Amino acid sequence: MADKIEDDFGEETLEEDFDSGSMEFEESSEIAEPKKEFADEKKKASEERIEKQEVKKEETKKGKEEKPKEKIEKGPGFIERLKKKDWDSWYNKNHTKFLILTLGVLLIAIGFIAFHYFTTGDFVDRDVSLKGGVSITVFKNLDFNVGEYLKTKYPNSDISVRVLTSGGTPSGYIIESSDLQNNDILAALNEKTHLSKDDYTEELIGSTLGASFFRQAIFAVLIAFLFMSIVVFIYFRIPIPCLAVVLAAFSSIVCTWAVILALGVKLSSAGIAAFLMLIGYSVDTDMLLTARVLRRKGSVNQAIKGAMKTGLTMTGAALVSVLVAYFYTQSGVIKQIMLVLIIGLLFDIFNTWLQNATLIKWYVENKMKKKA
Amino acid sequence: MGKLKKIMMNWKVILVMVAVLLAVLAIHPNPWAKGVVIRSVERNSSAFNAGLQGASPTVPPMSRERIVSVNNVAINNVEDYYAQVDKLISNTSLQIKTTKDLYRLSTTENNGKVDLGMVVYNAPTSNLRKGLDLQGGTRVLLKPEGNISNAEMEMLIASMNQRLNVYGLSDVVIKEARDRPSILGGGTRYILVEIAGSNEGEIRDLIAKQGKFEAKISNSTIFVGGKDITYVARSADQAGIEPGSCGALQQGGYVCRFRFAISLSPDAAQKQADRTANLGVVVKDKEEYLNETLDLYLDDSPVDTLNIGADLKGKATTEVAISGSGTGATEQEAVYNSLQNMKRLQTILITGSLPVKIEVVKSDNISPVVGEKFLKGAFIMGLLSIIAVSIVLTISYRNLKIALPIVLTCVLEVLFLLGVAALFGNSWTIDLAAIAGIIVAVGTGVDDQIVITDETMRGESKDTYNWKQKIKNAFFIIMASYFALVVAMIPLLFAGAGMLKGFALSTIIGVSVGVFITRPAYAAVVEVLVRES
Repeated sequence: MADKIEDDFGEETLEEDFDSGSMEFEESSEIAEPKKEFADEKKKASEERIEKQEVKKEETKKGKEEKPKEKIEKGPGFIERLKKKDWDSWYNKNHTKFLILTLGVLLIAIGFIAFHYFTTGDFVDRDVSLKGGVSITVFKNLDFNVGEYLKTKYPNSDISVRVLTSGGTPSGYIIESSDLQNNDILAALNEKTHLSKDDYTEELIGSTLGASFFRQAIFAVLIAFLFMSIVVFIYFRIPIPCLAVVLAAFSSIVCTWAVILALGVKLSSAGIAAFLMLIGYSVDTDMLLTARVLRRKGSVNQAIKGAMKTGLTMTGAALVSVLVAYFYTQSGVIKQIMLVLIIGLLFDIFNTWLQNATLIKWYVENKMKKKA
Repeated sequence: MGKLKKIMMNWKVILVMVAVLLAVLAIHPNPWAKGVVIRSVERNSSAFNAGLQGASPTVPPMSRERIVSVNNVAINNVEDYYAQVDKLISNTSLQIKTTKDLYRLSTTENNGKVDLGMVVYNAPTSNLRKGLDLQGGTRVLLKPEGNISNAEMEMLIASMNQRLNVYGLSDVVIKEARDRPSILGGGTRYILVEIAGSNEGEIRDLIAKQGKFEAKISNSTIFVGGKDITYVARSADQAGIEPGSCGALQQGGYVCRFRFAISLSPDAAQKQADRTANLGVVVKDKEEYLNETLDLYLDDSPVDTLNIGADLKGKATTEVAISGSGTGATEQEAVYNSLQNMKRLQTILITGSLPVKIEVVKSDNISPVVGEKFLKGAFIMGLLSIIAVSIVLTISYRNLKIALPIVLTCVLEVLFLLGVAALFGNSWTIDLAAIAGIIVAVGTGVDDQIVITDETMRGESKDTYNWKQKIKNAFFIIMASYFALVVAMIPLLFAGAGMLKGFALSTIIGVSVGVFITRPAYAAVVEVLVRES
């Protein structure tokens, strides 16, 4: 293998021969030579930097964008190190640590959810559409603190008020209660201000129905996850890479769930739909990575790097459009969907490129060791 | 320009262009559409008598009958229409011109105001059917008591349809919803009722009440609503507020009484004769009455009590007057509520009771104002997203020539999806769920296009054979994620009484259209753009 020189993920000058290969993922018979590329020259300097990065990683746990490239301290010779094969050596030294980091985050997330379950008896905070009650959405600025007012009027009831803002001023309120009647709330509001029928939307859900929706929706998510895993196995057919894909998708979803829980967001049926959308989006990037690595003709690191460029563009494009929607929309439903997607996509970057990448690298290198 | 020509001549691209063209035709946009469309016509009103009818929900919006002028004054929107109606004097005749015909109406008075008896809305600007989330309305989910058979379910839905039509609403959709697919046992059966444009909780009461109406003389039933009643008066001279009946209540507010005449079937009349034959006579307020009253019950709770005139003793009389009341904070409100109660009772008497008891498990009253705001917001949001995504793509590829086709393809895809929605409007209304589905489809589309672009741009190779391989590789990944997403959506088609069904359906249709139509066209475009450079 000739040296590969890249400038900022631009054109690769390496010649790659494609053979006719079918879509079965057998190992490539050409052995990449990761070990030969390791140079001793800057090893010690890299090691120092690695320790500093460990500390940094511990601090940026909950789903911040993490391109390994950005973790490199901006010391002298930064650009050169980036360009030369030291990226490879650095990556080869540290990829295990990335994996451990992601698994650690996953365990923390599971632990958090379990803790919540044991203290409150529920996996998630539900809004009225999933547990029953009334929901009134008012579409204008009422100029008083609606939440406080209603809570003083009905101190013993379960009332929650979310304020929708447009450019800093309130533009609407989502008022929910699981034990009041909608007429009670409307009467209270009408005492302070005048509401015409066009100013609000009301929803009423029976508690049996709400609870049954919730059960079915959770069931739907589990089934969807199962079906998705089956599709992945049918496509790639090799167990360990498939497991890596499923694990990454699982981690993204569980971590997002934990963050939603921690933020105190009341999940609606739309939010659950968002989790399903997330299954689709996360699996996308994981399958891209797996396909590229298993099908590669060059080194594993090369394949990962190339896949990462494509993958980050994909997630980046999805992320910006979701961000635009989140900040612009006035609809509570859409906002919740977008919030779940934003957090989910960030975790997807984290899990695909740190967890899945490492696992598939291990798998491939292990296989090659066995052949050698 | 040779490249552009080559792109245009590729059959896949042509297919997409044709599809988009057909989509635009199906959508039939006309933002300058004038006039108003009839949502509902009250029975026995001036409009009803002239033959005007509410628009049927199955007709595409742009083909619905539109009122264009009243007495030769052009009507452009709802405000114009009501402005004209306000000017009308009772007992005159007027002309209404629509896109289909010319109608002659004569006006009558209804509590001091001329009312033609029509509710209208602004002419639609496209064939896209807006769901309740966007145009406002009432959505009610009902659960019948106990296990009911398929036949009973059909009858129930038919009765409910009839009730709503008699009430005057034609833009009504009633369908059954289950929460598990039939093969897995079917789950609980629900009925979903959607009434566009009516933000009235009264509708909820109308369809949820089983509507068991009984008239009894000391616990022996004389007649029931439905079959025993052959005629219910609804015209202004035989039904309405009892003159002079409105008065203030002790505890504040006002009450008004209404009355209307009904005719009984001969059997029921005979029953009444038999039952009253042996009753005694008493004197009340200088009038002679029978010593037992006719008690009216609606759904087992007493609604009214009528004194039976002594001269009816033993007689099979078929004419009965039904009365009731309504209250309100002001006299005007009391009049309104009284009339609403009367209307509801009339409907129930005409259509009879529903075969089973039903319970409201979910109801949504959606304001139309929201929908309008939301649509405007959605447009701008879409535009901003396009710009944002273009920026990301340009940064990533450093080449506008790559970024633009991707974005353009997405825009075309959205147009095509909307066209499909317009075509299948009866089954695919545009509501929040549909919009969310379209967002998912487009998002996946951008991702897939990026995969194609990257797969074909990596490495230089001029050999056709390798090109085919690259496309094959790209589509392998695309199809894998396509199937994963589709199977993830399938459980949603059945969960939760179909509440998320719209979303799942939109997503599946959206990504399918993308993968089978737009994606291959894009691949062809990329081939021309990149391969030959």
